[in-house]
Amino acid sequence: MTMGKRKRRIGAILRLSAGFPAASLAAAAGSLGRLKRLLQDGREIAGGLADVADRLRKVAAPDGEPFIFTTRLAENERLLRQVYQDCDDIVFRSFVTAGGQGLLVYLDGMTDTGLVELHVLKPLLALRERPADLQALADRVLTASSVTVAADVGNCLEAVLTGNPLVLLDGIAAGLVIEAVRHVKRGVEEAKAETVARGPHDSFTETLKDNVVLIRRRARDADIKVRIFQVGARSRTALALVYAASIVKPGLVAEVERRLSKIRVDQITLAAQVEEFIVDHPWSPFPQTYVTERPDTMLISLYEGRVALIVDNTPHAIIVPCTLSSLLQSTEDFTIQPVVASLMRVTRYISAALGIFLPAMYVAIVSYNPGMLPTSLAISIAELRARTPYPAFMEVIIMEVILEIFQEAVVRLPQKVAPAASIVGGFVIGTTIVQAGLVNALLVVATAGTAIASYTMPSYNLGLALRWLRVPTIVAASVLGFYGVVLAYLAIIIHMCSLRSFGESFLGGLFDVTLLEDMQDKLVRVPMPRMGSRPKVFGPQDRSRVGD
Amino acid sequence: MANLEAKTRMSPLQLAIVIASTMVVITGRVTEPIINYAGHGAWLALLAGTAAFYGVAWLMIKLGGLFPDESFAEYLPRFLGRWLGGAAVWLFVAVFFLQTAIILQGASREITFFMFDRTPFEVVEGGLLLVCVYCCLQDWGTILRVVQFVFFTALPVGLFLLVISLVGFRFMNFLPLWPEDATGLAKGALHTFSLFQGYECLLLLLPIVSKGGIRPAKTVAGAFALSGGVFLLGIVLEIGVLTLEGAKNASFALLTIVRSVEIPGTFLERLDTYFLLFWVQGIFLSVTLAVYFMAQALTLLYRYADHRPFVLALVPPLFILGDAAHHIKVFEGLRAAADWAGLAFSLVVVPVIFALVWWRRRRERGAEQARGT
Repeated sequence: MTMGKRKRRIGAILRLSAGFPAASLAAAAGSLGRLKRLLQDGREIAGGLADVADRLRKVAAPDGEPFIFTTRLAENERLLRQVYQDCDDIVFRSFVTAGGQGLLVYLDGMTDTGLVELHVLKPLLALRERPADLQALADRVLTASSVTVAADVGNCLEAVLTGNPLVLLDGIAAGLVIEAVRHVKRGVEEAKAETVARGPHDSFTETLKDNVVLIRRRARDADIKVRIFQVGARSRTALALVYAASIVKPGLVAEVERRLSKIRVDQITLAAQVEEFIVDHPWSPFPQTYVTERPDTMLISLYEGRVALIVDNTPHAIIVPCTLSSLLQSTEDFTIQPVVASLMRVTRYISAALGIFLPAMYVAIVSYNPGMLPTSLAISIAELRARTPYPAFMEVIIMEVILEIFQEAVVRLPQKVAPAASIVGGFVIGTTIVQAGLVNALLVVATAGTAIASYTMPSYNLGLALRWLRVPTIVAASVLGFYGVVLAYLAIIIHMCSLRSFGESFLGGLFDVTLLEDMQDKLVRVPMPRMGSRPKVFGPQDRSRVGD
Repeated sequence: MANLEAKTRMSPLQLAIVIASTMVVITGRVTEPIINYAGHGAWLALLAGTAAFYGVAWLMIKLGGLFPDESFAEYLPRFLGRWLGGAAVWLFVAVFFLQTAIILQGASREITFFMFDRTPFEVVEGGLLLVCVYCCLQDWGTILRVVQFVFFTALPVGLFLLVISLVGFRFMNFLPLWPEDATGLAKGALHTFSLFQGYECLLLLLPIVSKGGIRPAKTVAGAFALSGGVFLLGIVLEIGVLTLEGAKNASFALLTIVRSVEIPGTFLERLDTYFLLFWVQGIFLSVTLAVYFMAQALTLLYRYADHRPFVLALVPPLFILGDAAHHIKVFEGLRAAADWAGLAFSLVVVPVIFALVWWRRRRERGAEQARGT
């Protein structure tokens, strides 16, 4: 500032204050000070009043809801912003409709903004005369396919986080929830674990609604009921309970609901978490729920009288009750000739037994009962074993550990590297370990046979159970030879017989004389025209598969 | 409705399977007295024994029919009085207890002889008992499923191996078919009790057998026919392969026979070990069911809600007695005691109770008719 300008400004101030005496100036200064204090006090009182209002509002709000809507839009917006504080992906868009203020709240990225613009904002902005209430607005103005009037704040907040936009209007203590979710989702792809040569190839995805559609598309049956629940106190994960109402065993749906209601956890992100909450014996190595990624398998199960659960964000359905027989069945069985399917099923049962007992049998034969083998074979085994320094038990443990490490490595590796690792691992296990004299060649054959047998299991979790059970059986064989193997076998049978999946036997009536009718689709499969009744083991209300 | 809605019920066919599983699996030591007494007529003694003990079983079914919803451990104390009724139940428990101790000792001795070199038989006995206890600690529904599973998976293979052993059968060894000593035949028939022991469980199980459909008398007859057939095959094999004198002197006659079988091509050897693997499962069923029946009888007698405390209480003395029977004199004494206790229960206690109940009911009916007129 130049000197001239400064002098001119001082001169102007002096001229303005020239008419006031010094006393008046002092009084004005005092008044200004008081005004400042009053304003400060006013702000504090306003803050205190806001707190009181907040508390009063919270008292009025129902349990579990942070507040209730008021008729003042600005107040509603302030409260919503408070709830969504630091949520930068929540968008607040104000607009004017029929001369009044409106507010659109949505989750950026999960809401179909094109749909909202076309079917919500455009009609609202063009509105000249405001309808009497929100229902009238939804009925006459908005062209979106699904609009719900929601007065409870909890539902509105959740709707926004689900991806459904919320519309609030000034003067109305409620909101409109518009169905306009746009998920970032994977398309329906081919089943990865349950592939079939013949038959449908589509599988479940991570999106619950798409999965329900896959079921509905296969059965135009109003008897198939889909009930949506929420689990996880914070994640509020959607879960669909699906069943065939006139077939399912009475009480089963209620029991599933009861167990779901007992889930006390903050988040559910995987269907496996739900499984662990609802099974009868969480410490058992056996899977007690049937898990499938195939919609056709799930539908078949529903028509057997079972109940399915689809958890949002998991491309698998959980089916209960679960039996050993169902775990050893594959969709492939129904696409091939019944006699061939029956042979394959029997093969799977034998594979399951080998998957558990083959290493134990090796230990028993080599350590205790070599006399069970033909003499020439027993001599050649003894010759092979003479080259290895370890006892049979140690040999088997070494091989089991290497096999487990190898399997874990192949599972964890990227798909492009896994085949290379398989070759290296196969070479190491198959050749080098024998040449190094750590184990003998017969054990390699036994271990490879065990691994291949466990890979034939249609259920991955059952394969894991077989892997786990190998360890105690090997220990039993090392202590008591074949006698120990028999005792371990009996203990496993007792455990399997004691397991129950939602009240039904895990063995599923295998060798139960009261359930002989079920043998038509168990160890063997009879042709479809002969399969006239649903499995008795699941207690369906309607046993006949033949339509009305 | 599905099976598990009625966990405490069973069908008459399941009853037959349980009865057949309970009966002692044939061993050389059990058949030895029958062959000793009846000689070449052992097969006749066995048939007579089958018929006689089925007769007792039939009597038990009739007795159960007079008390449709109660087991004998419930109605006996009421009918005979607390002490006398309790004594009858304890006799039932004693029969199972002694017989199970003999089975444990005999089985562990044979398993040790044929499968191990240095393993003490106590380890073998203890291992088996441990698995049996694990099974007994389950509920009846689970035990029933285990019984059926093992029955249908182990019995056919065991039978197949026995049938294969017929290759060594010489008909000449079996002659003469008809015995000369009728007293010996009768004594032999009495000693078949050791084979059939276990059917007394009918008194416990009848109240939980579903009514309607096939009658229990028929299915139990089937169980006796099946068991009798297996025992007959065993005795025919023992005499037909080893000769009468050989069978009398052989320690483990049946296993010796199975061991002697040679399959052409020698792709399998030591069939006795394979046979043992399936025979062990039969022993497991017999022991498990016996322990469960003892525990259940005491549970009902003393009005407990759960059979498991009695299982845990019974097992240590059972192991000790089974172990003590290692000495041959103790074993023989124990066997005689088990036989006589069992025969007393089957041939005296059951018929007397049946007669008493029948007489009292008849008197009551007469009194009612008199009042009516």
